[in-house]
Amino acid sequence: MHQNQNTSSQDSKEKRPKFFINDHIDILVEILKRLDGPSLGVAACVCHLWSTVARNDTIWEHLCFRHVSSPPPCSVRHVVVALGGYKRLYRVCMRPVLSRLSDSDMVKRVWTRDEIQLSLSLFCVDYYERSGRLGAGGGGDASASSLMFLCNTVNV
Amino acid sequence: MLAGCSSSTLLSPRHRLRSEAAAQLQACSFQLPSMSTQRLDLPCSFPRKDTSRSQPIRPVGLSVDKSIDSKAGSCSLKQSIRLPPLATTGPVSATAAFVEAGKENRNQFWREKKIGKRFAEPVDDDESCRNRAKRKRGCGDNGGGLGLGQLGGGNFWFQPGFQLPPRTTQLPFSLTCSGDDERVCYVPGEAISQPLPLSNSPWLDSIVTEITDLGKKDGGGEDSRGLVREASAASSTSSESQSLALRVNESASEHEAGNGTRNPYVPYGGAGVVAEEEEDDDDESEAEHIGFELVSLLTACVEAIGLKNIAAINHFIAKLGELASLKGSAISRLSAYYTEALSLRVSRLWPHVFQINTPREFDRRDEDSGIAVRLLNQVSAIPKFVHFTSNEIILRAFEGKDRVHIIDFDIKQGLQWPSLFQSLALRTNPPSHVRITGIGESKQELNETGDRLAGFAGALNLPFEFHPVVDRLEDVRVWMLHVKEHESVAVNCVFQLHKTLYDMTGGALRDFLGLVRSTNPTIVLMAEQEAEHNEARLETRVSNSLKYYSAVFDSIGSSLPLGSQARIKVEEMFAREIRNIVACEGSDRLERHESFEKWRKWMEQGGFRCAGITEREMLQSQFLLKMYASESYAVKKQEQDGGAEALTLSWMDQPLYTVSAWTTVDVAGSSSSFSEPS
Repeated sequence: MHQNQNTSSQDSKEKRPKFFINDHIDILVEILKRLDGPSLGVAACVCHLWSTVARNDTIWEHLCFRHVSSPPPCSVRHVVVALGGYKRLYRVCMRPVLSRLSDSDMVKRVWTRDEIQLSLSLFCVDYYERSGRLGAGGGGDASASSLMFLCNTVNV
Repeated sequence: MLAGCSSSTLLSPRHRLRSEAAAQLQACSFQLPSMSTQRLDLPCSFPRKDTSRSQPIRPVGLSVDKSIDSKAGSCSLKQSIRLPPLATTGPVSATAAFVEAGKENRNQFWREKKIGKRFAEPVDDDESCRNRAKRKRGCGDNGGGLGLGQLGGGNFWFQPGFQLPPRTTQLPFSLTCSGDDERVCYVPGEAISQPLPLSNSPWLDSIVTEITDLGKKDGGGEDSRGLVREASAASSTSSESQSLALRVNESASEHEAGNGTRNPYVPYGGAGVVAEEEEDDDDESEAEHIGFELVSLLTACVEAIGLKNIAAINHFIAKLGELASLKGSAISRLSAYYTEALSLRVSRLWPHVFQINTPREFDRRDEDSGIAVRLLNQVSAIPKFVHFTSNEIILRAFEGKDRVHIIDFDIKQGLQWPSLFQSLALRTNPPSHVRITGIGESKQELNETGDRLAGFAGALNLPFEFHPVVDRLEDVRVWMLHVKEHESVAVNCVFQLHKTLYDMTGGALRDFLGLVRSTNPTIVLMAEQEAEHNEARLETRVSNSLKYYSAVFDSIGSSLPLGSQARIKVEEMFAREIRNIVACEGSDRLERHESFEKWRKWMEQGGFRCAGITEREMLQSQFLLKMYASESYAVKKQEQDGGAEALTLSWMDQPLYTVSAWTTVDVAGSSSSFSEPS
């Protein structure tokens, strides 16, 4: 495709030196949507533009529900966004839940509704705890939450 | 970690050392009465009774100062404590009995105790020892451990009259606890570096450091445990130091006077002296022996209470005070709490003989319980298990219902409800109105909870209303509960029902169930401890609850380093329960846990029918438990007549909590609206 683009654009316009992915954000988004979590994290470190694009919540939404057998209801998006967004959902709940459940079962399997539900429940707990700590008012301290057990390395 | 320890051989994190030094400086005031023996009042939980003149002082917290760096040092201290009695008293005929009762166990124990070069004891070993100890104890057939039967033989009645040498220069200071000094008494490093956490952040910071610092866990753990054993430190106070000082007044000395001056623990001393040079044993068995030791002391003490043998009680509690420590292994801490509870009990039974300084923490109950609840939610699977299972059942009960109302007895911080809200919001037809009536004892907490829940519901676009009810359980009436027409009601009773059992006639429970029924609920959720802590005999209660709470402590401790403040806080919450079970009677004793069998009977008598548990709840709980690193949690169904009635969470085969759901039978409408799952 790269070559085609080159030749066609060379034919049609004045000389364009290269194909810069950065000029085509939509394509970039499509590509990033297909990455897994860690790779997405790496991609976000490439440059300022990529970092901005990688923060796009729809990419993370795709990532979260990639393994789901049936697409989740639309109302889920509203809830997730209200509670902190898909990126956070992935980072705080889905990835640990997926990795822990996969350890014991098959490696890459399709998520069931129950597992999604569990992740969402845990995500709610996370939000609730962040949203108003008694006394300390340190709302953003994600580490001290009841989801800490998800942060621990498993059985190390 | 004991204050004053400046040893470089300690593996503890740097900051602890520094703060320990600070701690030492702040050590509480001394009292050196000018008598031949020193008096030490034990700070926090290690009460020591002493008669004013003859009773030797138990160095609580110890002398650690002296030379913690080498075990030998503290060993010798200990030895010196023990030896003189040998010298001054005659041969102890009780020795034979003692030895017979648990001979090899003790000798081994002493050998290791004195020697124990090894501080290094991996946490797992300790736990497994404890578990073994726990299980063995449960079986009652171990050679080393002492079953009640053995103890009942009266082998242990020695007089408390054993003398300790005047403490001359061995103790850097003696501790006394009074008023605000408590907190500072002999405080371990962490407590000093985090001054009483009345606000959350220090806790949270410490939690974070501790969780992320798990790599150092072993190091830290080893230290405290090693030290504890070495110095046989009793009492290092936790930051909520409970100060107990038991003073046996003159009248107790009468008991002693009548008896000889035999020192029951001479065998220890003797064995210790001799055994010093013997070879090291496993740390595992060392811990195990200590575990056995503590448990046997506890059971012996309980026997003594039953037999009203004041002198023996005195003795055992003193011994326990010396051996158990709030900074030690889980069994050590657990024993510490039990010792405290037993001391409380004896001081209530014989107020003229035993006096106790009431622990300060009684005053700070409210603030602490809120923090402790949240900490428990962070470190243990218990709250989530209870909450998620209940929510799943409620969700099913509310299927198709448009207006829903939840009555939560003891809502605390409302940690159960966010995930239910989310499930409701994600329903195909979310309810048009959600109401929660939260009952609690603290108006401020209730209001805060209400606000947070409202905020959360707002984020989800769920119409929500909250009604706080500040009242005690038995004072709640239907008209306070805001039950409205055309709303489906779910009643949530988490760890509340057992509080109505103090009424022997069953009246309070009946009234409460009547109240619940009068709200016309669609579903009633009940979560209770799965235990038999309501036996009339103290011995049975203590032995049952020892097993139970060891499992609980293990489950909390599995993810936290030994000296963690969070762990201490959470354990204190359970310590309150322990205290209530052991030290209180009658209408004061609220923690009357019963097994599900009994609850089932009572609920059925109260006009309820079990609504059953489906596979979904089971699966969800199993998923949830897989999230936790520990493999020891398990979920089991309690079945009757082929149908699953309740889910029980257990830790390594010790059942802990049971969740079950009930519907009313007398009102046709309500029971048919929630059909029992097949």
